[in-house]
Amino acid sequence: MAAYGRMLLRIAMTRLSSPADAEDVVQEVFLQLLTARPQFRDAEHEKAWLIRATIHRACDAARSAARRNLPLEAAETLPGGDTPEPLPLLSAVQALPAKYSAVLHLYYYEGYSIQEISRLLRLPAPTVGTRLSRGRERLRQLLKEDVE
Amino acid sequence: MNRQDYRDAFDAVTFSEDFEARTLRKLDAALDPSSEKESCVMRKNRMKKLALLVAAAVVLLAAGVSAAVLWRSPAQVADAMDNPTLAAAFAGEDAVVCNETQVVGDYAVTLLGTVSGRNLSAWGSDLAADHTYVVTALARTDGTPLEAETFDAFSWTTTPLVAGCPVRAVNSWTLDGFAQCQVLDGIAYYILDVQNLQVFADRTVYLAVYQGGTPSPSQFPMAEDGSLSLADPAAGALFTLPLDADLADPAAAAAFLEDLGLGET
Repeated sequence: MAAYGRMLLRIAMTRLSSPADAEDVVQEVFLQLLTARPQFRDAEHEKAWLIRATIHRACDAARSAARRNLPLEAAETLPGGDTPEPLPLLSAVQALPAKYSAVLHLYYYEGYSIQEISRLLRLPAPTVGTRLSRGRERLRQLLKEDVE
Repeated sequence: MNRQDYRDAFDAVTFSEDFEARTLRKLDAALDPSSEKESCVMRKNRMKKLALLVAAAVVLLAAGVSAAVLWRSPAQVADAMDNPTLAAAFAGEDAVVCNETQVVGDYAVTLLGTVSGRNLSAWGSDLAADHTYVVTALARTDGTPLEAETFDAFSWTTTPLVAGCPVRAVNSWTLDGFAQCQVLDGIAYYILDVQNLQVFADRTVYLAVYQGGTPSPSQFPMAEDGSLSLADPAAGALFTLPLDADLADPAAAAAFLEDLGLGET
């Protein structure tokens, strides 16, 4: 929890606009870890599981939020709502399809290499490279600036 | 944008100061049996008609009548869970409808159907698009409806198991499985989403449904020929998934097992 909590919260934020929703997702993931008692080979295997579980749960939570038919703009202006205005970059990442935002986040924030992301997400390395490239391009279009 | 801009954007998000403390309390509570939720407080007059229908259906099932008389179809379940793409896949010709029921204690577990393929779901699976989806239903045999508010959906595990593979190594967790549950009309429906199981289709692929966590060899002993069974048939349901052996991909299966450190199995 202490080792991975903040990392998982940030990963959940790639799909969710509300920090509170991200906290709910990460709590669910830890609860699932506790109750499901999966067997891990080592700490890296456990971390990979937590990352994938968080991405999946966050995708599901984002879908549920969309199902509630509350446009983001409306949700942000609800009376009493304390969700801060997202930064443009954060909003742009959240607007990307999950397959791009996951790879971009692991690369840009967590500093993983393409090979490491390939192992974490169980994807072929060329697929990770393609997603990183296309994700950058989409992000660049959304931000209207260069993405290094 | 460079890496530092990216990090700054995410570092600007503030989370609750007590998040870790709250989460630890929640985890402690989950470990403490005395804090378990109150058992179902039934609203006595609610859904009596449905209870009778479910009980009647279980009697009919015992007599070999199709579950389709009462249970929702896999496509209807996917639709109810707001996944029209998956609903369309279940309505398509590649889907297999099963409607096979096994009784587990006070519950009737029904394998409703399965479908495999690429991009069949509108959500959750775009990290790895080639998946298998399995829909199951869980109902009380006495017809008492399950309550969405009190039913502990994830005290039940739904996991694929593969003949010849250790159950601790090849299961829903290692196959990146995620189950969604929704109680509809007093019946709990699950959609299990896992990596495409067709790659294992030249072996027997099972679907196990039981209460508890990860599967253990003592629960599912393996015979010399690799087949799996339930040590206590009353403790769970074990279905054989109807996969197309022609679509097996032994190389992909071997790569998966190799990744798990199992090598040739």
